[in-house]
Amino acid sequence: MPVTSDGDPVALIKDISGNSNHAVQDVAPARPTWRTNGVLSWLEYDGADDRMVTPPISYSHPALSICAGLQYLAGGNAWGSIKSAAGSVVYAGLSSPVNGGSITNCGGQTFVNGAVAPNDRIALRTALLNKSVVSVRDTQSAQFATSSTFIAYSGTPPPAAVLFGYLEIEGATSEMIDQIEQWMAHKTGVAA
Amino acid sequence: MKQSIVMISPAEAVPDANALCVALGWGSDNFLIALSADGTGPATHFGLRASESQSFVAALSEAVEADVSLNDVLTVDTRTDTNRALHFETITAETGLQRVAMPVDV
Repeated sequence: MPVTSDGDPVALIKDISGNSNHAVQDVAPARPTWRTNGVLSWLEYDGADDRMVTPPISYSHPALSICAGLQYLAGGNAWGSIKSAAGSVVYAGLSSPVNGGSITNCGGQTFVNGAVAPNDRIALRTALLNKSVVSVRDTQSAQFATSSTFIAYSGTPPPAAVLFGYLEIEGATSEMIDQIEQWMAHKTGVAA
Repeated sequence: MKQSIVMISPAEAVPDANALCVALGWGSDNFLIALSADGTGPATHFGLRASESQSFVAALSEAVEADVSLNDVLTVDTRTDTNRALHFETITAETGLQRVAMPVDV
């Protein structure tokens, strides 16, 4: 059943690539909610138990880039990631700012509104408290061959956050990702 | 108008609490957040937070009140969904519980 009104829970996010790698959440209380202000719409993660899970994906290209429009909400858990694989616990973008240090993102570069890696974890968490478009370029897709989560870090309490859009692309050129970032900025309501 | 729900159950009552949730239309495994007094394991309680309709909340309240044994041990807090921010953290603090920290090597 598709969402129809602000506050509806989201149990399924369809993969529009045609590969049926849909993100699901079977546990009712752990479903993020769909929110809208009439212009923009987004997923809201409550920071308690909300997370979406994608199935194991057989990527066809070794390089995987990810672009998301998101905002962490103040308070609550500070754990988070752009994408995190269950089991092997690899991640792209962010883990616990409590631990400090730089971001590990499976070999790629992390850009947050033009700031180039290596990003400090605390600085990235702080930056993402404002609506942002974040890209993780050319990670090693093989690292994400298992079931994975996005926004929530696998195996830790999920952060409170809002997600305006999420896109994965294999073997993308820098020019393609630049265009995706502009599209994501529009969806997120921030300047491209 | 949606409502924000926080439920916390002692570990031993989780099967009964889940059965109650099943009767209301949820699945069989709803309490995913492990809790204890000092944040170390094993978990003594499990919790959840959800946004649901007023009719669901009314049915939940009725079901809990009708189950005397659950009513004695289950913490259920509801508020308007507009006040959902940090709802779970507020209730766990009021009940003297913390998330059980999971060791993660990062």
